Amino acid sequence: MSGAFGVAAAIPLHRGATAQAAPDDDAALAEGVRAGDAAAFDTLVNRYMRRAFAVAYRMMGQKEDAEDLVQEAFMAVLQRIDTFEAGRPFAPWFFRILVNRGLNARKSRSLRTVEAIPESTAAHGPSPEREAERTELRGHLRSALDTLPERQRVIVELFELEGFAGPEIAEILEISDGTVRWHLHEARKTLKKALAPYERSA
Amino acid sequence: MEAYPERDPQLAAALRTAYGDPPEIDWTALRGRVAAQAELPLARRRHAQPRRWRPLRALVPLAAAAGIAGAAFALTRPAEPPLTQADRQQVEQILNATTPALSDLVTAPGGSEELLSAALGS
Repeated sequence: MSGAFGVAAAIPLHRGATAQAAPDDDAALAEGVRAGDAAAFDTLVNRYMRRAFAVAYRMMGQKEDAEDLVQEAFMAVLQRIDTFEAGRPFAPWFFRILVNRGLNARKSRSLRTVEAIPESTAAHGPSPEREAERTELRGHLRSALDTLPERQRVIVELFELEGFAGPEIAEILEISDGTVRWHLHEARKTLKKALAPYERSA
Repeated sequence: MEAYPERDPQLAAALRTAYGDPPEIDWTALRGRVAAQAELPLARRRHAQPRRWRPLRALVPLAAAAGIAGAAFALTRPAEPPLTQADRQQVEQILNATTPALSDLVTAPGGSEELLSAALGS
């Protein structure tokens, strides 16, 4: 994989760690955006667009839709920057905008299932047997993911793939910590069950 | 408070397999599109900023008027009349009476010695 997702790859995957250490100057940049500073806005865009795209892509399943969602989310930041409380972390506030917009877009487009994954990104296995097994696992897991309630799916993705900490997810989705934990537990139970037949090969 | 579960690398790997990695996109183009779309709203924000100082704008003409009035007063104030010969003489008399002449200091007994001591700081 190229370095384009270096930010996501650098995410510390341990409990309590945040997905990405919130840069100290986020608040100053947000203040700059409030005053109409184009350079401050561009810095925030550059800082968050990769992670935003990764989240958006998993929600929308289409590259173009994901790009549109990221663009819309940044525009929403401009519209709503006056509601951003100085002193609070920027990332959960921004991803709340992104995720809510993504959920609404999916609802309006009836995109319950994510479209087929391009072969170029799916092909990892060196042997046809291995690839066939992966394809089967992928299909199985996709079916399991499709049975999850929308929010549950988003929670497990944000936690396991994007590296967000539980409290950050609670802030993004505007739900309690306990609700996040419960959804996470339920989602994992469902996915583990779907994965059980493949654990041997893993 | 109940702790969150540990992240599960196996589940994360399976999810990555299921979703595939996000595709490569032209980040510069995306950034450029966002910047282009943001241009107008940002300009509006920049334009809106001076509104915060708008109440103070009323003070600017007041300050300018005060400055002009001050300058006009200074220019139109009658000038001091020049000293007359009698005034000059009076001033000289006062100065002579209160200030010892330099020649007194130098020619007084021991005057040069005192001056030298004062200059050397001893």
